[in-house]
Formats: sequence, structure tokens, C-alpha cells
Amino acid sequence: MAPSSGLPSSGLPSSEPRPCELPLYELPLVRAGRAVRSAQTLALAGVDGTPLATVHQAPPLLARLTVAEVREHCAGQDPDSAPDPALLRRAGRLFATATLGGLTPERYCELQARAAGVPVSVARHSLTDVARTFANAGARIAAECPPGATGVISPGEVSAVWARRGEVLAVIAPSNNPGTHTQWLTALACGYALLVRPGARDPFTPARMIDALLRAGVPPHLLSLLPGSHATGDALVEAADLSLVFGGDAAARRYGHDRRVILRGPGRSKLLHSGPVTDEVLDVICDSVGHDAGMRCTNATAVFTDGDPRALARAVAARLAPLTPAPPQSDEARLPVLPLAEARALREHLTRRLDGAVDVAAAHYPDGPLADLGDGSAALRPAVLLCERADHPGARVELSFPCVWVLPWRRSQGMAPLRDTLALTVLSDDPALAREALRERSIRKVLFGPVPTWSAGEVSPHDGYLSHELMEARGYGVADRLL
Amino acid sequence: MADDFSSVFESPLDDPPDADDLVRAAMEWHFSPLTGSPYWTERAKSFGFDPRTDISTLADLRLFSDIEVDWSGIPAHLLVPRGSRREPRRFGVYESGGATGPPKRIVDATSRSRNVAWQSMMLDAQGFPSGEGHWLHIGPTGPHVMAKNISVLSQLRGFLCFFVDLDPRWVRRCLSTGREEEAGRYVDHILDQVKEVLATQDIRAVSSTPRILEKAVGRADVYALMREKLRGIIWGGTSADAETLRLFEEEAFPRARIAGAYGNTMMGVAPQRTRLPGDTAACVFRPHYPYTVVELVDPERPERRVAEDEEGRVVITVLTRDYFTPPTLERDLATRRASAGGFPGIELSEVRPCDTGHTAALVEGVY
Repeated sequence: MAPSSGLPSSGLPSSEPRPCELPLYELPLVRAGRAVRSAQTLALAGVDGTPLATVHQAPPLLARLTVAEVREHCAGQDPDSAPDPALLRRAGRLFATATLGGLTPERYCELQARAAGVPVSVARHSLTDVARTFANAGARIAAECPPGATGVISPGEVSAVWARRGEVLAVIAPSNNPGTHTQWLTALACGYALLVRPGARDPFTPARMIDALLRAGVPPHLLSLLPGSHATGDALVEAADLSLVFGGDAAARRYGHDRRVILRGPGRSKLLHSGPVTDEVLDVICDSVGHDAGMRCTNATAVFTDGDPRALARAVAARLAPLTPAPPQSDEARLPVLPLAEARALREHLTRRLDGAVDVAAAHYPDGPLADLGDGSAALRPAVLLCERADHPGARVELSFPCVWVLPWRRSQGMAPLRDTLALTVLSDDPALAREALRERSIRKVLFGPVPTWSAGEVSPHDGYLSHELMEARGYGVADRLL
Repeated sequence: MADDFSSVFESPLDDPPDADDLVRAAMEWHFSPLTGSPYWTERAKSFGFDPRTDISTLADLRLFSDIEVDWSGIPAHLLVPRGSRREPRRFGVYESGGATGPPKRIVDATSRSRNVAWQSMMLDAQGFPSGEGHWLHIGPTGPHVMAKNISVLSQLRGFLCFFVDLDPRWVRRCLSTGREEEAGRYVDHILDQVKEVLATQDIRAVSSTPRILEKAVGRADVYALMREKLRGIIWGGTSADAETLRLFEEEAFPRARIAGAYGNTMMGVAPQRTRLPGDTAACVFRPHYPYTVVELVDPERPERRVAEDEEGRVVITVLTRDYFTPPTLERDLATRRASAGGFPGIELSEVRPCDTGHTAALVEGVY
């Protein structure tokens, strides 16, 4: 579906005339499986200002028309139809290895890195991670389905079916990490028609996933890619049956009351450390903070310790200091990169939120917390913020770079300071602590022992099972004789 | 009104006056103690120049550049020209939506209707329907001049006009205080009324905003009626991007003629100019020159007019018998386009609100 060689590359069908003087990659819309142009386009630049791509834009009206079109397709479908897991496995392989939309895997990784400011090593390892997640989708769906609703209902039996709560799912996607997008694959495996509004800085990852899925043979009406503004997102959320929305506290305020919206907000993942500070403890903390440039919701935002917070913070800062600032497309990059002004604004925001906390990492960076890369962009160096009390508000401040708050904790305080946590690693040898954490509902995943906060199993829930929000058990009974 | 100024203020619609002739007539009319409004004749005493002798061309209007007009605070009756009081004509007071602060007020008797008659001529050229069936306006009525404009336009085109009122100030208040849900309920309330009118009346044409039209497409019950019945749609009030316009024409309402209208309470209506081969913009607006003079200036250096195909900030001047507006910087940005077919005024496209002092709000979290 795309030109096999030569620049400029384009994700548009090759039958379309391509303006050859345009040096930019062209990213089309996908409407119910069809790649189409828009009369409205937006230039997407890298974090260093280099123009990278022309992104075709979907205004809110297009979102509504596409939802209506998708619904017409769905109307003729079997209510429990869903793509064969074998197609998803094939799509994962294509994502990792094929030239899709005119982009080789390596060229995709470079565009993703330069636009999103995420080190290219992240996109590279995501190629295989995504392929693995795709391959595992069938097993995950099976594991998440209640056993009482899996069987064939025979005459004379009243039982349960595992049924979709709707047909059409809007996804308001982020740009923080390619792996985040694998979450909506679960919805596809449930048989939902997806309309994805990508994040402004990374339309490439969902575009590549959708290209791979279409090429693998997933029914076209199940997949749409609609880059656009907040208004486009709002129109999608309004028009779809259910929505998966990635966002910050503003999105939570906006959609939090809407029962049709599944919200993926800040992770505020944490570690609870009790006992001596060993090399292994420091490794797990630093890995939790700095893995994938610290931009995931499962990267740690805070460490609570019953030891000496100052000594721990200093040791963590020293271990994080070697993370290399470099342009995101370079092999050695390990830190997020933003346009200089945005990087400054982010650090200034952090300064305003300090509330008495001290950045003990500052000592490692004589030229300041931002590494000016000289091309209009800057890498964000790690911040390690030492707090004097367990209820310091910093533990709720999640920023998209390796930024960790270190706070004192006493056993008597229990789990109260650890509430609202997507992933908690309990760095201790006391299983009672892990059990106590499991009793706190707002801690969505507990990892006991030296494992980083971002660890996940093949069927472990990320924030509950997504399929449990997309599906429900409905009663179904069949008489033992026909009327 | 027949007087020495009739040939310029009320010239035939297809034979507009020379702009400088109109400027001189407007200065004489609005600043003469015999014919000018109490507001302008009083203000002129402190100008430091005499508009009747010192201004004889469009360019001379720059003398007004230091003169601020608080359209929100003026007692509106003081804006009625003395020269019009002897006439058995009825002035109306019309208010802006208040997007940029408290509502601005103007007075109008027939000048705006001439603007609308000119718009109707352009709609004829575009094959916009007339005659059979009725018109439905879904938009501001009440204090807003839009209702009067649409009444006149629908009558000129032989339609009965139905209205569903939309209070733009309430929508804005909802949105500015984070009450999107309430704004959504209000739009649904409007669309329920639209459905009722469409279901019972022979509606062939609609005027509304792009946003309401988009929301209507999202309501299957309303949209089915609109798609089936409408042969003409006028959109205006807010901007629309090129893809939305394409979708209106090609997908959403393939049986309807679609025509845009740019304008506001202060400047009047700049209808969509009939499309020409070679137009790069989907919709080019033509102001009612010289009664409404639009200029586009460099947002950073307002004294510089932008070149063709360059974006600039809108400056309007209004020179009608009913009211005068000196050159005024508006909130909109637009792209200047070469005037087609010997039209003497400038034309413009890609109108959008100017985000002054825009800074991206920083959001915590990784998404």
C-alpha cells in the first residue's frame, strides 16, 4: 500500500499523486481502514524544530462522520465477532519487521524519537515488545474472561455470555512511549471498532500499528486513525460508545464523571523501601525511575523509605547522573528531549512545586538541570527531590522525565502516604507490608521484592483488566425445547 | 432618503461608489452638527483635526488611529445621526456576542439590509436556492443583528423564516467556567427544537454556525432530516477549516449549496465570493466594499499591510449612512487574497481567531 523505495515516503496509497517536491513524510488519516487525505494538514516538527512530517488532520465533523460510517459496518456484524488472535500475532510481526506506510522499522523509530523526544532506544526495543504483546493478545483475553461466561450454552441451561458493552471505542492516545499503545489492542481483541486520536507528538506509533493490523487482515472498519485537536477528541468521546482516554488531571476533571470514559491518568508509581540500602535496592530504584527515559506511567515518581532519606536520595542521584543527554535519535540518548522553551517551562514548573524539597541531583550538574543540545532542544536531566515529611505534596507530582521524590516513611503511617499508585514496588523482606499494600484499593499493582515498578506479566492487569471495563457478563438461557 | 449623499450611500448594489467619495460623504454626514450623531459630533470637538476638511481619502482615516471608541459604554441613542431623525425610519440597536468583553452596540436602520441584499446577489450567482420552501436560522437572535440580517435575506429570497435561538453568551459562559456538559445539554436543547421544525415544516435552507452544523451531524435523528431536506446552507459566526468545508459539501450535505459568510456585528457581512478556477482557498470572503473596508495588517507591526497570500490581523472600517466605525483592529486573523474580477476591495480567507498571549498550559503527568 506504499511506495517501496525512494524519498519522500508516504503512508498514502501509491495511486494518489504525491507532491515530489515535498521532502516531508506524509501521514494520512485512516477512515474505517482507508488511508485518505485531508484538506487540513499540520506540519509536525522534531523537538529540535526540524520539520519531519505533514500530518493530515481530522476535524470534529470528520470524527462524527467516521463514527457513523463505522456504526453502519458494525450493524451487520455478529455481536460476538472479534478478530482472530492469529491476525494480531501476524500484525505484531509486521509491526516489528515490515516496511509500513513507506517506513522501515528503523526509519519509524527515528521519526518517533525525533518527534516525541523519546530516546530512539525506546522505540527500538518497543518493536519487539509490541510484537510480543500482539502475539499474547489472545491469551490475555482468554485469561481475563470469567470462567463462568466462556462455555457454549446448551439447551436447558441458563448461564452467562461475555458480551461487549458497546461497538465503538474512541482512544485518545498519548505520545509518551510506544508501548502505551498496546493497551488499546485489548479492545480490538474484544471486537471493538477503534477510532484512535493520536497524541500530537507521536502519530507514528498508532499509524504503524494500524497499518500492520490492516495488512494482517483485520476487518478495515475496526480501525481508524484521526489526528486532530482537543475538539476532535471531544467529538469522538461524545460519538463513541466508550472511550479510553490518556491524560492528566485536566482530563480527569473533564471526563472523570463520565461513566462511558475509561481514564488512564497519571500513574504516580512508587517504591516503598524498608531495610538497608544495598546496591540491589539502588539498582531497582534507579531502574524504576530512569527506564525508558522516565516517561512511562509505571516509572517511579516517589520513593518512601524508613531509612535515611537524605543518604538514599544522594545515592540515587549519583546513580542516575550518568544517564546520557543526547539528541533523541542518537544511540546513546537516555533522557527525554524537549524544545528548549518547553524544557525550561517544565523545570520552572518543578521549581514552583518544590515546597521546601531540595533537588540533591543538582550537585551533579554544574551547568544546570537542562542539557542544552545546541539545536534548539534540551535534555531533561534527572531530578531527585528530598522531602522532609511523608505528606509532602511532591509525591503526587509526576513529570515526564526521570524525576523522583524521596520521602521519609514510618511503619505507623501505613499505606496512607502511598495511595493513588498505579504500580508499587515493596523493597523489603517483610511480606506483611506487601499484603497491607494489596489491601489498599488505590494501589493498582503491588510488586514485592527487588523488581522495578514497570515490570508486568503476560496477563497481569495494568490498571485493572481493561476488558472488564469493555465487556460484561450478561445472562443467557436456552430452553430445552423449541416453542 | 434622497439627499446630496444618496448617490454614494444608496448607490445601486452593482455599481458601488468610489471609496474616497464615500469617505468624504461619510465625514460630512457623520461630523456635521446638522446631520452627525450626538456622539460623533461631540467627540470630534477633542480630535485635534476636522474630519470634514482634513480627511478626504481612505488613507486619511489613519488620523483616527489614536481615537478609541468604547462601543460598549456609549448610550446607543446618541449614535443615531441627527440627519436621520427627520426620516420615518426606525433604527434598531444591535449587540455583539461579547466574545472580547462586554457587548458592543451599534444602531442600524437600512444600511445592513443593503449589505444583505448584496450578499443575496452573490448567492444567486452561486445557485443558492430561492422561492420554494422555508428558511431555518439556528443561531443568535435576540439582541444580535444576525436575526435581522437573516429575516431580510430570507424575505429577499422568497422564504418564510423560522428561528431557533442560540444565546452565544451563555455557551461562552458555560465553556469558560469548565461546564462543557451544560453547554452540551444546551446544544441538545437547540437540536431538539431544530428537529421539531424540520419534521413539521418545509425547510429548504438553513443558516447556522459550523459548530452547530457539526453537532447536528452527530445527532442521527436531526441529521437524517437535514441531509434529506436541505438544498442550501449558510455557515458563519465562527471559522471553519478547509477539511470541514469539504466534508460539508461532499459528504455531509451533498444535496445542498454551501455558502460561507464572514462577519460580525461591527463590520457587517462579507459573503463567500463565488469560487473561481485557480482559487487556492476553499472559501474566499468578499467584504461589502467600500461600505465595509477590511485591511489585513502585520500583527507585530500594525502599520504594515500584509501582502497577498500573507496572514494578517483584521482591521475594519465602516462607512454607511447609519453608522461610522473608524479603522479598528479586530481579534481575527485571516489570509489576504488577490481580488478577483476587478473587485476594488481586498478579499480574505482562512479566518480564525487570533490567540493573543497564547501560552501552552503545562500539564503534569506523562501523557
